[in-house]
Amino acid sequence: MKMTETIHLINQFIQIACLSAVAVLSARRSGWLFRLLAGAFSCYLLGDVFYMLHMWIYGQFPSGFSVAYLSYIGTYFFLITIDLWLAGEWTNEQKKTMRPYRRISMAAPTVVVVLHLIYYIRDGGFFINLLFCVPLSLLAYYSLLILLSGGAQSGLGAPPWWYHGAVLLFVFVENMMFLSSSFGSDTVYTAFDFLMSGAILLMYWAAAKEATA
Amino acid sequence: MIYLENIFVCLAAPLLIAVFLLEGEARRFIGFFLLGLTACLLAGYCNGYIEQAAVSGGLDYTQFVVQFAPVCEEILKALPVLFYMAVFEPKRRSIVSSALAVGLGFATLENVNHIANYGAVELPFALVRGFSAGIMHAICAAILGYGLAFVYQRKWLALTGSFAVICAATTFHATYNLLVSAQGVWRGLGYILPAVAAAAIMIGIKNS
Repeated sequence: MKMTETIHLINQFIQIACLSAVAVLSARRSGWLFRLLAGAFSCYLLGDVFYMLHMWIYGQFPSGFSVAYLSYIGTYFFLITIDLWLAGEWTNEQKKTMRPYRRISMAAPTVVVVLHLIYYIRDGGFFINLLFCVPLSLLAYYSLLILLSGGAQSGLGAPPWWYHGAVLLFVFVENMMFLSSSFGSDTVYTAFDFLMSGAILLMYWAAAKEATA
Repeated sequence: MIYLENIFVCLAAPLLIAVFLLEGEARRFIGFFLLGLTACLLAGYCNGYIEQAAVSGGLDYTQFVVQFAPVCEEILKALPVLFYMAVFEPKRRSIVSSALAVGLGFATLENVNHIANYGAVELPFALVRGFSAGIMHAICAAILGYGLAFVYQRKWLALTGSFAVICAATTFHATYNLLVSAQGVWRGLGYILPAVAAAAIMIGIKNS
């Protein structure tokens, strides 16, 4: 096994350990936010486990369409569900005050689409690109919208910049992992892969902080 | 060659009578069990088509079983429950038990077909099959049931939440398929994975 593959596997181990910890911690807490977070972390964990098992059993990481991708997309949808839950609780009055923020929030999905477009031009794979791009764009949009619009409207009871900031970091790292893999830079990819564990831990920590605030 | 349709007819006929004879919760459970059997039959057809397309596209059979079959099977298992929830707006408990009934029905037809294909002479073979694939389908159904019942608390979450839950169930199913398609210790791990997951879910439910 190459050195880069070994580092990648170690990274995956760290990520699996972090995900297992936050999935169990989220499942043990009460409230809808933690139930959905437990779902999101479990989904990502299953994807990572599948990815690693595939490597161990077949001696190579899955190529083309993989169920692991489906689990990552499932994670994005769990996180979008959290944002939609928050957004759905807003009153009409609150929605009116959101209007200016909606335009600014469009910047986040635009960045995601541009990054995916670069990835598509370099690596192809229209279907898989679309599968990742749509939920990541939605997640980026809602996270930035809720982040900008302030905590009072979030329904969490405290300013949600930490949690939604962590989600935006998560989206950014996911995109950068895509991009760095298409540019063939193993070191940069590994760095972002490592940063992913941090983003996941930060997401749980922020949610716990805001729920208790 | 074993015809899945014939096994389906044998299993479904008495259950169909029972649907008309029973009432309330029991009728619903048997009805969804029957839908689970039907989902398994449809999965047999769909998997056949997808397998042909995948293999002719250069994918080997094992990769098809690991990567594609779970997606098709979990979607087919979720469809009756999603329809039930969209049309009848049931209570949370009913959603969970309906999803479980679909999963158990699916596992029943799949196991009977497997035993009919590979022989029912050895008890250990049947035990391993029953306690691995059988429980795995029940767990996937539980993930679907509890997950869908949770996200349907808010109507506007139905689309994204349902998709997320189906993705989670599919990945668990695929992980099981990946392990049992391997040899040696991996296969052994695959056989005990559903039982371990079932124990974890039961502990989680008791503590919540």
